[in-house]
Amino acid sequence: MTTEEYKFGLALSGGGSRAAAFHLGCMRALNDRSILDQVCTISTVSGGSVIGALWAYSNDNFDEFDARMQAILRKGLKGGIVRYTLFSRTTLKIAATLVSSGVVAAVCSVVRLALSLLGVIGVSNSALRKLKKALQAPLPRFSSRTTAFAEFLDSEFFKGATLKDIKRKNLQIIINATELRTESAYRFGSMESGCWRFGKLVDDTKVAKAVAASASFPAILPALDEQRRYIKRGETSTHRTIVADGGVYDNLGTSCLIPGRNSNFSTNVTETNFIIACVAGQGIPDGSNLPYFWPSRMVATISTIHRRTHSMTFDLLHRLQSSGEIKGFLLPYLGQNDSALPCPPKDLVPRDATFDYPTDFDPMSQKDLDMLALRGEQLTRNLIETYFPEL
Amino acid sequence: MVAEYLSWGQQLALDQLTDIASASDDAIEIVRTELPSSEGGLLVLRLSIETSGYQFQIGGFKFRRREPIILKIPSKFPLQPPSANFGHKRFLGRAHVQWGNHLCLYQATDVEWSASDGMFGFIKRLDQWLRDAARNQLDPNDAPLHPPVEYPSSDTKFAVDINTPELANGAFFWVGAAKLTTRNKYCYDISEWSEMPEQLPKDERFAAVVLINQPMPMEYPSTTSELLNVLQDRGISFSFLFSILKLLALCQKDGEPLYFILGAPMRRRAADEPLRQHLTAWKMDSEHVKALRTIVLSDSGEVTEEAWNLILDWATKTPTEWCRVYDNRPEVTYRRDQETNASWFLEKRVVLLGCGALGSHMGEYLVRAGVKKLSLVDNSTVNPGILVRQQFRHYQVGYSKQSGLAVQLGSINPKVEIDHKYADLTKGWPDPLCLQEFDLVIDATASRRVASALQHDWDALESTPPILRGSINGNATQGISTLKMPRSGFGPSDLIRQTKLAAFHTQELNDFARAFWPLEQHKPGFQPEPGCSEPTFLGSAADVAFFASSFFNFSAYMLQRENDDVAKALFVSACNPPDQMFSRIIDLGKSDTNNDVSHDYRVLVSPAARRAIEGEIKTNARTGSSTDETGGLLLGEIDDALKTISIDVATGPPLDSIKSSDHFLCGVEGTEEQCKFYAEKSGNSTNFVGVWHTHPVSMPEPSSVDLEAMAQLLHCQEKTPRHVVMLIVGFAATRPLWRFHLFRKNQFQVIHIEKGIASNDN
Amino acid sequence: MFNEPRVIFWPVGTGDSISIVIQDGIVLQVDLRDLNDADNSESDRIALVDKLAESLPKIDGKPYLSAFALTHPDQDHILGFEKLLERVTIGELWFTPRIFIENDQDLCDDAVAFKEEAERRIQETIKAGGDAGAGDRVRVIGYDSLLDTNEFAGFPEDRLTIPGHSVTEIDGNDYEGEFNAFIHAPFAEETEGDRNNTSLCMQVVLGDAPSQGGILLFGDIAYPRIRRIFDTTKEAGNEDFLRWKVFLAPHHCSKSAMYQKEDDAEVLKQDMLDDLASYQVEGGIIIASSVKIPSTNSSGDNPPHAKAKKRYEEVADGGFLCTHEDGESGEPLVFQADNGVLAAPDVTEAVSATATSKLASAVDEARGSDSPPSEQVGYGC
Repeated sequence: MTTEEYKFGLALSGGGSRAAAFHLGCMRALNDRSILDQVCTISTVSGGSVIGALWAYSNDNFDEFDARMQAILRKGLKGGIVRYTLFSRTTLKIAATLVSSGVVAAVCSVVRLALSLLGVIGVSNSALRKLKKALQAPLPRFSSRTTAFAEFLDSEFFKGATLKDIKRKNLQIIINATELRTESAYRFGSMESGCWRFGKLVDDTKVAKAVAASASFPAILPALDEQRRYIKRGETSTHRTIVADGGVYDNLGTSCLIPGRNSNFSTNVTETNFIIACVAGQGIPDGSNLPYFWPSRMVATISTIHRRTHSMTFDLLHRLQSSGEIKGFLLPYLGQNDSALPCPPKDLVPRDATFDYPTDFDPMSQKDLDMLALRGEQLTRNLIETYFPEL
Repeated sequence: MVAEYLSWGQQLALDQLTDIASASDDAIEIVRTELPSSEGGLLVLRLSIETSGYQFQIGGFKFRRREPIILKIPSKFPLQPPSANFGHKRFLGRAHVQWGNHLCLYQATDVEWSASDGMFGFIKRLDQWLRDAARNQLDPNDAPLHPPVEYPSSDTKFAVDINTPELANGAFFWVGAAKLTTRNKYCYDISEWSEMPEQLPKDERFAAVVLINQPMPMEYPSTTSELLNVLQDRGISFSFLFSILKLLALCQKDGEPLYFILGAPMRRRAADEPLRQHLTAWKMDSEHVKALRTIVLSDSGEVTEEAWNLILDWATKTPTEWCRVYDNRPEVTYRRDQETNASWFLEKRVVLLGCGALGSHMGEYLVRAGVKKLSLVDNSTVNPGILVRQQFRHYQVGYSKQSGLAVQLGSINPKVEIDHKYADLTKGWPDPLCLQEFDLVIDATASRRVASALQHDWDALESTPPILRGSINGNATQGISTLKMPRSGFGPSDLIRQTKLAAFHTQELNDFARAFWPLEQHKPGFQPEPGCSEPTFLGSAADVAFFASSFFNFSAYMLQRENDDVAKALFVSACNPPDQMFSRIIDLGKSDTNNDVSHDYRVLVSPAARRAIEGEIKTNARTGSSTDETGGLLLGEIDDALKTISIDVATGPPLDSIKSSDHFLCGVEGTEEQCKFYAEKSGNSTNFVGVWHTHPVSMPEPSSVDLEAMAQLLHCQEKTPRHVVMLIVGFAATRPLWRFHLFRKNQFQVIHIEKGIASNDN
Repeated sequence: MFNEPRVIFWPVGTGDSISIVIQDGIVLQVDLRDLNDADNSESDRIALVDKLAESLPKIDGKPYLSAFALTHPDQDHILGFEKLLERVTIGELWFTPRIFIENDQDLCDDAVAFKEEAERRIQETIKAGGDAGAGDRVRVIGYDSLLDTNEFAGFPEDRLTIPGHSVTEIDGNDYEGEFNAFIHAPFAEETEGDRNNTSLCMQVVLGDAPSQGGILLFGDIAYPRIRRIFDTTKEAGNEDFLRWKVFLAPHHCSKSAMYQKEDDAEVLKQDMLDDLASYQVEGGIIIASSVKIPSTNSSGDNPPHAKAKKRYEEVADGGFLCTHEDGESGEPLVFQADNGVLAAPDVTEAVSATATSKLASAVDEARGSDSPPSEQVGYGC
């Protein structure tokens, strides 16, 4: 089988800076094997979106890109977010938002709480229920830390590029987010953007905004809240769109690479027949985490949901290969159980050294960066040599 | 009315029809019912059908306001359908109306007649027929013509395989003769169309032929005088016809009838094709033939007059005696296997090596598919035991397989040019056979020795005809077949190796790997004659046929589609139990072929090895420096018999290697595990065979350091190999240039240098 | 109405009245039935005598009918004759001797009037020794033996026409080439017995070639007589005189033309239909001079009979017409003659392309539906 017959789809999972560093390593190995340039579609989530978008919207050679990425990871993104939240034009907007829609939303919340209490003691009728429903955040959150995040990414890295301005030749990128009103996948892409409920976005979006939306982990960053125009089945309409981290829906980014999707229902249907899914997940926790209070409980809940999605996706990829729907797949997995590898390299960076690195966007030490990247590189190369040496 | 002989089915028909008639508002009227007058007799119903609902269009049937239709219900109704006739013969001669008034309602009664729907379905069909008849849609323009009908009465039959001659432009007819060969006691073959014979042929039999350029009536004439009139109307005058008949009467032997082939353009295979001749054969019996001869030859006036009387009698009083013609001409028929895989084989030249289980079955498929030439090669004889699953006959025991098979296949399709050769294929390609004249080579020997021998003989050839090979496992449950296209770089033996690697490498094919390349012999092979015969497989004729046909179709499918540098393997397991069939086609890839510089061995480098090396060179440039040397191990197989080095895997530098700009120290950490891993993964086909390293900026020539390294490898290790291949990638940093060198242990002399004493060793 | 050569079938209920126009104003009227319904404007029957009086050419101030032929003296063939005789001058009278055998009390008034007029004219003809002149002429259709009887003593031979011969003369004028009536019946032995069987049967051609087809008028005869006519004509080699473009269904579309009772069963005589079919010329039309034919007949309700209509529909190329079903209400069916070729009136309805098949729906109905019941059905024990 010649590599010309493969249509590679590369999925870069979420996981903050940890993911970005891991993915950089995987991309090194893919580049060495001359596979990276043959990738037709990149699908990114959260942390993966940062590195994926930076790759897709630049056209320097790999070494230059590599150097750039390392610089960004060392510096981290948190600083940038803080700076733009507190010290930029966006600051005023955020303040204004808080004062207006924030206050209104808060008041509404209180009223709704009262109505719920009334309901508890038995006072409720259909008029009250309708009122309760109507009193939800009537005004959009115009500006927030996430918009600041987007501003930051735009001025420092993407320089005003919109999604359609893809730079890498023959590459299509899909930046995955989640739409919280319809609780479904929301995909920004270089070909088209939107979600199946609302339709396709009429206007293009800035890359920076897409990446920021994709990476706005709900526990930390607010969702993007805007009125956007959509076209569906020939009709245009406007919908209030609330977009958050893609990891909520699919932290691996593989859902849009699975073959057999129908473009009548899904956006961004691709022709992938070989899936490379780089997963910066942790793997099996060692049990040292003891969630007690609400925050840690919520995080543990989300982790569990993620883990379940991961293992279902792994099974799915195996099945797709057996049935012949895809020609094969590779799954370099940060949290991989090393003893499960049939013939690992002797100097494999062990799982324990990297798997619990935090998933925020704090600055990263060179040592950590190198270890994460190296593990990614080694796993990727080893999987290719073991299972698809002809690639 | 006495209903004594009315069968239950006929009663059913009557009830159904009565119901339909009463619901029809007089559109169907049952005018008269005639009960069967004897056991098994017909129930005849005279109906009157209203036709006002059938719209007339030009060319269609002109119905009167009501039409009388007579139904005949057989006693076995509803298992057998009724028949419908018009109550008159106004539509005589129209297509789909036979014998003047019978309606041809069904084209394929088996498929179209539904017993359970009985008269309901029948009347619906009748309604549809009448509707289509009125608007002239019974024989739509875009369908092949329903050929006209003649009603055969003679026992003699004719078969035609060759297209008829074309009429000259503007000619009204073509006149000539048809050479007849006897196929069997009932049937003649028309083997050749020729001009009228000028001399009396000695041993050949001829029939008269007239092909006209106008259609005959739909129902051919039933008396000779009618026929003569019809021909007269179409430009064949009686005197002309007579002269032809006389001439050919002379050619017949005494007591033999004269056959007359009449063709009229009334058939068409498909809508856009021109009309072609529909052939019919007509027999003039020997008495009249004799009379014709007498007229020509006799001098006596009286005898001649008597003969004339006979002929007059014949011309005016006799009925025509038509003979059935089996028309198999390509211009009016379709082969039943067209558009199948087997259609690739039509007119091809094939050589079949091995006439045993697989070969004898495949041979039959080949000749039935219409190959032009088939050469059979084998060197064994037919013994009674093989009749269980090989295509030989009882009487052929003791015959050589190749000649026996040639006879068998020849009797199926005499048109194939079949020759056979005795040859021991383990000695290689049989000389007198010319390889390049074949379109396909089938190796049905299932012998690895034969594969090696053939590879050896074809080593130097740049391309060979496509080669199909197949083999079955010990209990005929699994089969592997490979097809090599002309320009694939692999030879027959290489392919076996590649197939093995693929089987071991792909998880779902591991069963095959174990079955065909067992690591240990578990038990002795099956011996039909314990102690006396060679081990062979256990399997029935049905099992063998399954694999033979799978391999046959696989090859044809590939040959119709694939590029000519491809090699593929089919893995198929039989249905045992019947719902467990499995099959997969694997592309065996392409290897680059190089030649080793030292001993001129062929080096096959797998794509995986190539990628690994190129990848490592890039990684090295990225993590270290592009001017540093790098390298690793080469794993594969060196085959001295076939002078082939196969490189399957190339590793990167082991952990404890040291790289510098002029030196690469190849480490050993982890190499043992790696080699073990690959050996196991490949069924022990991929083992350590050598090393590779780069010369970043210099030629890929072994330096003295390299030679020392070889010597060390071959002599100074704990366990030394007997040969080693070294790959040097020269100019790795800029324009990589690959060179292979094979080193043998015995190329090096080891000289021990002890203090003061030099001695030779080896 | 009577200016051009044509044949007119009047709507007179279940009865016959045919006007044959040979030339402008020259009319041969075959049978008459006038029901006096002139006042009832809704009736679709024609007040024929009035109509004739109106349309015939006037000679000396009185309407003049060239000839009147009576097939047999049944009421539905002669009703209104007395009135006709009063109001119209009839040039020539054609009849068979049957009328003289009947007793007056067996005949209707108009038949009696006819009989008296016939007798009178015979006397005049005998007196004149030949052509008695317009208004008194007769043509008797019968056999030689007639001349031996008392009533016909001295009757001139040329005023007698024997069946098996043609007549081209009407009212003293010869119209050969434009008019030919070939007399098929009655047969000699049949001047007695059932009146219907003694009907005058003839083929009338308005041209010179009987083989082109004309109108066949068979009066009220039934199958046996029809069979006999066919056989006799065949034997005599006169088949051209059976060629028809228009066939008037005998006895107003009675089934007795093709069905016979044999041993208690009613048997279809297909031979009559086959022969009839073979004698038609292209586009032959069969006419029933009767009221609308029912779709089924109850016992005894004949003529007209539905079965007869269906059988005729199987025979006629050009279709089947009924005086009271086709054409406009109260209007006759008219066949124009052009050089001897009769043209059918334009009354046929076009077949609608979307007419659903009756057969198909009949099958569906008989086969039954597989839908579940659409109405509640109660069960219990």
